[in-house]
Amino acid sequence: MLFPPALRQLMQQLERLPGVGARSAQRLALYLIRRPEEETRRLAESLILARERTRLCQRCFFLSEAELCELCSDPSRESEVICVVADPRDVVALERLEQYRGLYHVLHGLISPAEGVQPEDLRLRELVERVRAETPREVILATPANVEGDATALYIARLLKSMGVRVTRIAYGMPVGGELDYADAATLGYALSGRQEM
Amino acid sequence: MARETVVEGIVLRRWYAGEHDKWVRLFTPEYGAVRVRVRGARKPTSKMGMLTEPLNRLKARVIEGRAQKLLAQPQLVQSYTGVRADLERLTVALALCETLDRWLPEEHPEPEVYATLLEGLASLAQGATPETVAAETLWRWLAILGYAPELGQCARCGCASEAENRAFVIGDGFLLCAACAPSREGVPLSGASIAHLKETMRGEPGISIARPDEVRSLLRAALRYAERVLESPVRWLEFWERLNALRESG
Ligand SMILES: [Zn+2]
Ligand SMILES: [Zn+2]
Repeated sequence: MLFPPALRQLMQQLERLPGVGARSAQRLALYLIRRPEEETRRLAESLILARERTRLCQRCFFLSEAELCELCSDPSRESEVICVVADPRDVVALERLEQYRGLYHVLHGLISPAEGVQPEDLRLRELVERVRAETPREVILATPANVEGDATALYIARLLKSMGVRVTRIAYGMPVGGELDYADAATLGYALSGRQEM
Repeated sequence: MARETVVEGIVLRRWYAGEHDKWVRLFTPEYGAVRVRVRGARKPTSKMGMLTEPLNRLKARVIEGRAQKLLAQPQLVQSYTGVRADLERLTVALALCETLDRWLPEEHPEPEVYATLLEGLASLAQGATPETVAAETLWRWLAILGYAPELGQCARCGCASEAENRAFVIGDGFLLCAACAPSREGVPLSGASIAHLKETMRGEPGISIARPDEVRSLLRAALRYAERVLESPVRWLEFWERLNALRESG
């Protein structure tokens, strides 16, 4: 490559991002260094700031800047209902509905042994401990409607079976391999209200 | 494969490509396992996404593109909801799919393997014991794909394997009698288990009518043998083992 060293290093860093190939990395790097210096500086600062400030809520494992996230520290939320999701983006998708008033638990993945993800790689032990400590009235499983989502929901239902908590799962009929993040509000709202006992 | 073909098949695996597309490995009776791209499968408006998920049996059009094959107009034939509703059945079904995905080369027809997969999934959906289905299906695949074990006699001393109450050991696809087997090598099989295995190999209902303890040892032997043939563990089977451990610990 004939690009000068600093630029080349930027390209190499960008290429490591998900979904960015060598060509996109070059295009992005050339774009970035041509922007006004102030703009580039702001981008770099936001990157570092977001990285430094963002951590996981100690209760629900959603993203937060404090020990507890905004949802967990909001006294108006119904703390006796916990909705289990795979990904932080699912929390955002469900919150957009303005329909659900309970709390969440983010697993950070789904059981998918073929991709090397086993139960102990998820926040499952924390979920069991939380249910034991908080004794919620209901745990809603909002995992996607695909084989990994099914396996994860069935696995959680089994873990919680002996704990006397009502376990439900959001209704099927969701599109796109059941990814919550992609579902439109009407479908997601229907899925949430039509949940079924596990 | 012609430029455009209508196929039936079972989705063994899917993985995502870019923002909107995904790949699936579709196992068809006529063409074997075929890697096809599903354009736009992840777009919110696409119905193709849901239809082309693993464990779905579907009919679809496969179009030969310049560098890749594309899947179009999928129609659901069967989704095995009975399998998906139960953790053990789902796990075994996915383990069988993973095994085939790793085992089958690209576009090599294996109609008998396909038929056996359909039978296995149908039995699981109808409530057969997952252990029995897994053992029977794996042994039949081993036989069809050329790894039938030598069951007639001990591979070392040549003594007959039918003798009652003698522990036989399966290692690399052959039997050794208890006297010849190195200690703790392989999986012990009773005379009755070996008789059931022979029946299954002949296409008779052998393993499916075996006792639970016989099924378990035949399954253990099949798993070890299959993993030896595949040269690595099947990871949905590892998950299944954890599940069994969880169940036993209460
Ligand atoms: Zn929280
Ligand atoms: Zn011998």
